[in-house]
Amino acid sequence: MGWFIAGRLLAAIPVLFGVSVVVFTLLHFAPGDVASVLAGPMASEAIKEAIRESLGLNRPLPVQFLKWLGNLLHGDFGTSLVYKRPVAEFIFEKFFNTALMAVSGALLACMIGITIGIFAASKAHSLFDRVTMAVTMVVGSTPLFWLGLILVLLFALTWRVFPATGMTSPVGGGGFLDVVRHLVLPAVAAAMPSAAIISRTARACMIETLGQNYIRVARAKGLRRNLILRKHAFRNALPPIATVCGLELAFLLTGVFFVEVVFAWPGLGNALYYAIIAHDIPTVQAAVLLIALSFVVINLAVDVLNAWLDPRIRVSTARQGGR
Amino acid sequence: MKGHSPDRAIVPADARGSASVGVTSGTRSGLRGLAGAWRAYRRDRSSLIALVFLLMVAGASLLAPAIAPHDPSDAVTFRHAAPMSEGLVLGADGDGRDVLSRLLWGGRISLMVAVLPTLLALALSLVIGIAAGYFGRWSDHVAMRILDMVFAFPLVLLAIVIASMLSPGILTVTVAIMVALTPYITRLVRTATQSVKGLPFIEAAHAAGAGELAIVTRYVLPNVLAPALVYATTLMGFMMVVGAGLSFLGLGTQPPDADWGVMVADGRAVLRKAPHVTIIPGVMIILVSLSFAFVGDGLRDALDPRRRHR
Amino acid sequence: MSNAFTNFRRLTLICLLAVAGILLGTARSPAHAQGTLIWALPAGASVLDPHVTCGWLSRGVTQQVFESFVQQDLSRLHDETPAPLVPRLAESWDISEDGRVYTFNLRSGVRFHDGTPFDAEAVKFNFDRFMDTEAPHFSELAQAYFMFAGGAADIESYRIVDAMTFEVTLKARNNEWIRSTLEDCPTLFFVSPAAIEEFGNDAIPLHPVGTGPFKFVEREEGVKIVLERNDDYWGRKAKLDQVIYRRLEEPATRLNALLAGEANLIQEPPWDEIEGLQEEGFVYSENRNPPWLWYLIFNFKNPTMQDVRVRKAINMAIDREGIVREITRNTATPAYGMLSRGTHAHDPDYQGLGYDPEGARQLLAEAGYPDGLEIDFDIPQYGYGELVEKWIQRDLKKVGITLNLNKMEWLAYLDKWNAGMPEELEMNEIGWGQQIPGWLGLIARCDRHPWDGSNVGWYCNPKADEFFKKALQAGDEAESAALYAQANDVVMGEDVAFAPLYHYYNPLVLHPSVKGFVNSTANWWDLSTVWIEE
Repeated sequence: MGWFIAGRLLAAIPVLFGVSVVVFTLLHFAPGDVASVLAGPMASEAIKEAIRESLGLNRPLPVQFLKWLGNLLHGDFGTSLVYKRPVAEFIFEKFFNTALMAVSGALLACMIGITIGIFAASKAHSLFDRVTMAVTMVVGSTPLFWLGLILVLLFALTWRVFPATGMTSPVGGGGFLDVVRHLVLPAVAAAMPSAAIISRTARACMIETLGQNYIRVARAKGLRRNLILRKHAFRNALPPIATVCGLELAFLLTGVFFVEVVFAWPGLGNALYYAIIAHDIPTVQAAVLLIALSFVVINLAVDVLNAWLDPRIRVSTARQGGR
Repeated sequence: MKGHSPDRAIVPADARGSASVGVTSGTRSGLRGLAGAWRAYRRDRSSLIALVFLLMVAGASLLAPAIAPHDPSDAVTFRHAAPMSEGLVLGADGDGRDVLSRLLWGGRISLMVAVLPTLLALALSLVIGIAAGYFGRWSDHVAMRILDMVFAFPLVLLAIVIASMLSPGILTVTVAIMVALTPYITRLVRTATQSVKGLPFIEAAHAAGAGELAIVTRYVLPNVLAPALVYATTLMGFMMVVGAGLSFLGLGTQPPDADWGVMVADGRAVLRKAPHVTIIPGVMIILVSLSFAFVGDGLRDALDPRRRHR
Repeated sequence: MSNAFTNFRRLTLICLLAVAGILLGTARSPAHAQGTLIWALPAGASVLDPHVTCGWLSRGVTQQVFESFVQQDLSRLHDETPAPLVPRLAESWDISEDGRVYTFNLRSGVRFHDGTPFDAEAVKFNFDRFMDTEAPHFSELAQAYFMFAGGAADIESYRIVDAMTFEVTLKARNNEWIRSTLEDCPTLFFVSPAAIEEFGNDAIPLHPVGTGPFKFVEREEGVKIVLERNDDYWGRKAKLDQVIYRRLEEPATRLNALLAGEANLIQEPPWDEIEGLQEEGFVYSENRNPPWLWYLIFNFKNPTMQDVRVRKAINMAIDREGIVREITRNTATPAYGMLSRGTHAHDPDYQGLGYDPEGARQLLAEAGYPDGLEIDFDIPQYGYGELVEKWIQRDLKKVGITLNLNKMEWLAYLDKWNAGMPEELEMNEIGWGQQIPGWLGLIARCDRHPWDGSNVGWYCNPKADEFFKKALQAGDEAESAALYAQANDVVMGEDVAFAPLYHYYNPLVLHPSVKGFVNSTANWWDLSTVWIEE
């Protein structure tokens, strides 16, 4: 297993390198000029030239890239062109904020999804089952940003129970409860579609396991339904459910960008969007690399979790030697 | 793991429960096969309704120039965010534009964003996937390493990066979705190709002296196409949601054009006063995306003989 | 593992209870803590180094932290234009008879936020930063900014007279020199020399240390900027404890923040909501004399546009009253001349070319276009659509002009705009202005063609230039206003070089608890007079 993980991590390095080369190169061909952004609308050409000079933007592209890469290896993401401040000083905080929303959303989605899935499966083909499955079908197709707006309309503007913007109260905010209060609406918006998908998977897996012979035997032995559900069926249906949960987390890592915009959440999505508008290449670089890296890590974690939960997979992946 | 290929959540909601498609053994191409498939499809009521609904929406959108009551980007009333009334069946948005007309015209873009890039990705995937799966060796290696790199880019991120080079627009969204989907469909095509390759009738064709190209086009492609098409169809609904999301972020369709994502975004400014401006396009996104999922399900069952007789 | 299901259910229950607790326990947040103004900005403020910044948003922040020799009186109501100059770090100033030598008598006992005393040395240190290439903290960037529009081009020399007296000598008389140093691109604010020495030119934007009524606390990139009251301020101390600038780019998000009590002043509210907000008790504030305007620029290199009748016809074809009424929701007023309402040279009685589609059609026929003509129009692409441009397109259609809108992404647009119009393009547009009427010269003088200025339509009339030159040397404001009126008569009356559209009122919406706010004639505000009343 250790080798399996190490191998997968090593394999990610050339991927990340490729990603960074591509992003670095492409951004330099983006329309507009960083000097115009920084100098403002009416600045003269002399000002822009002075800016380009001071930022080293006049040097050849490969030189700029190599310098960037060298710094990166020393943990230096470069200096933000817009904020004139080392990217590393603020990008991790943004990343944390995004991850906070994504992880809370994914947790919420798992809890809601699995609960609904199990109940629906235990009452398969009942009215409850059919109604909830129809609802999950609809919710699963709902755009995150739209859901976010509806939640804001209802819970922030109409009933005023939760805040509409930001991650902390502007004044005296920042405490744990304060953050949680701000987190509720965006996390729910992010969680709902994922919960729908998870519940459908959970239901399908549970029905499949419930139909298997050993469950029938247990039932014939007269074991209580609840005991069967939790001791036998759930345990066996867990690996695919865990996989879906993990993959929903991977999706939400960037999926929450849509929610961030609605709630003015100070996350990576908003930061990346502003950075791109302003041609703040070092910030874009760092953000893209962070996301790609965590994406690779989560996908790897899902594979590992799966192998751990289900010995059959462990054997087969080991045999495949990686992917 | 049946029914949950990992594709599912990375291009997440995509599947809505239908990502995996088994390769059918035997070649059931040709008219007789299609007719049979249609008979099977017809039997599934929800899929049929979804198909009819989709066709209606597509038809109405295509006819937008003829049937839209107003110019979609011109103010028709000075009563901004006007409620539904005679002459303005669905009311007006914050800039006094007719919501119904915008919905019809916007449908063209939203549907196009759902269908076109997915089909392009499908075409690209068939080429890459079959080349990798059928010929194997270095073509397989090269293709898979490149796809690995694209895999490391979540779709949304990819779209943002592409938008920053091409500048925002429909082209950006199309390219982004196409690039992002290609690895997923390619992987399916590749696996399908590999399993078809080992089937007896391929060997028979070889023995009968058929050339590689003939085998690929006559035997491999038809067998790989069905599952790939089904997968692509189930993705279309999710792509509609993603495309709308990118427009919502300002990376997609640019004013004065509007797709349904832009309409939701425009509705924000009058959310309290006139929630219908935001709600209507959102509901359309949900319904159409749902319909794609149902059509995909129906297609899968119809094209899979094993399921057909269930 | 065997208990996974039970544990899972328990976890779910705990989480639900927690959510319920949060909901009940803290449902009511303190809407406005005592004395904090939360200002929702419509975009990000640029760096907080006033010497190397352009932009009204960052100028609004630096205004609170830094001070100059003088400042426009921002506490005056917007009806008095221009705001008179009042002393700040100079207690008084003398201007020599020939208008060239400025002697500033500096205020004693003033300290920067870091404790550094303010004196003539500190002033010289700041001047050296953009004037003296030999100085240890010389910044090429700052020099470029000050040469462009910061008044450095006018300076012949400067010197310390004594510890509390500083003298600046200009190359020639320029009545608007001192006001030009207060504009936003850049601003002659005094930065603590000790801070510049400590942090260097690159990092000083992260440590803005001035003498103003507010001190910089922190900046969270893309999220907020926090200032707090300077209790050691030399003058009348600010009333607010804190000012927080939040970056909320979406108009709808700013509105939500205001409604939910997460901001108590929003800039650029959604136009459609202003009326409703007032009905709900929010306070609307506008500056009816903004120092800038929105205008179309005609290209004098383009053969079609060289005919004054075409330029006149376009001016007459546009229904400006309709635009401000139906699109900007009366947050603007039509503009017919090129002198913005925020300057002393603005003439409210100026007539200009009014809405006259019939006359426009006639002029076009005379000009040889009885069947109409086609015109290319470069426009930047905004988030909210091109409502005004489409309105103009429709108006011009009525007189037979087909207007092709070439939309460009904002940055790409600016790059092209700054370079001046290529021959094949007929016109483009921009919204700009300054508190000094000399600004019109920046966009209309012969020597201000790109790259030496922003006369992007390549207009040139020496007669107008003569008035611009004289106005800068005029004896008093009345005389200079008269000269600018003459210049405007040449530029707009004879030559019709532009099509002014409207003066935008910079609308703001305030929570009713915000008191003492004055909407000044500038594009920035003095927040030291503001307080929050629960």
